[in-house]
Amino acid sequence: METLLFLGGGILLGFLLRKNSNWRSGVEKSITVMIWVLLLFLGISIGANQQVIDNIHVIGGKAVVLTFGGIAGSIALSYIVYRQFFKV
Amino acid sequence: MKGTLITVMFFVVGCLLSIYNFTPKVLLENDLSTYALYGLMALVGVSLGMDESSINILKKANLGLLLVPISIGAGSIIGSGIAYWTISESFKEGMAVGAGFGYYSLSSIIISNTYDSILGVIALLSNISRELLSLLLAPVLVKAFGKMSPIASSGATSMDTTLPVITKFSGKEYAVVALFSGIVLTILVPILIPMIL
Repeated sequence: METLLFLGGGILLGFLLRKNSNWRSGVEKSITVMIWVLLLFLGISIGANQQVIDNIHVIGGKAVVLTFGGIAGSIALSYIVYRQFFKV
Repeated sequence: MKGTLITVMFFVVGCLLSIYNFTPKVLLENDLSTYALYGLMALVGVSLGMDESSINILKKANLGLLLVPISIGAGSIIGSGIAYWTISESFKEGMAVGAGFGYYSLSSIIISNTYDSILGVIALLSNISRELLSLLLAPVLVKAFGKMSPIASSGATSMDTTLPVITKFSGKEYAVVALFSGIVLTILVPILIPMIL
């Protein structure tokens, strides 16, 4: 939940700084670098976790199940909106 | 696509480093990633707060357009929850991965740092495959389920990586819908995942 506080604080700060448009690309680049660093950390903690390495096929299987569930659910619900508002 | 490969490479390099014991102990013993996540969340917030163009797009939305990301988001979260529950796993964890909407980098980082690193890896794999499947299946989806379906399967990525494919197979008139839906879902990822978990 703390993450939401940082997100909210950031939004407020960004809103106050929105006139400094030359900051924008710097912020975007920092986000990309930060994501790289955190994924490197995630990789490091995963590589040290023998449980994950031994069960990678199980983990992959779960991921695929979630992918299909998410795609199917989103297509199903948005189809109603499509029929009501978009399809002529 | 190139961006995806570079991003995934960092994760893979991290795995290899620790499998072959090349990791400096400092990294494993100190919980740096929690602070890094706070920094990242603040930066994501700043970029959202500064972005007047997305606020302007949001102001123009009518009911039909507004319901597109809402239905895609809700369907994605519920669909993943149900799918995970059917293989006797936690409904809540399924919903959290589904709330990544294809935004694999941010969703996996939030989940692994605030909840569980294994679920974080599942979120990474699941959301990457969502992006890849959306790119590959767009023409098939349009034929089977109509022009909205590639926007739905793309989730948050419909504003950037999958936008060209959507424009090609759903038509140019759906580009604005795809952009709008992608922007809204991208904003929702860092808000919804901590709320679900």
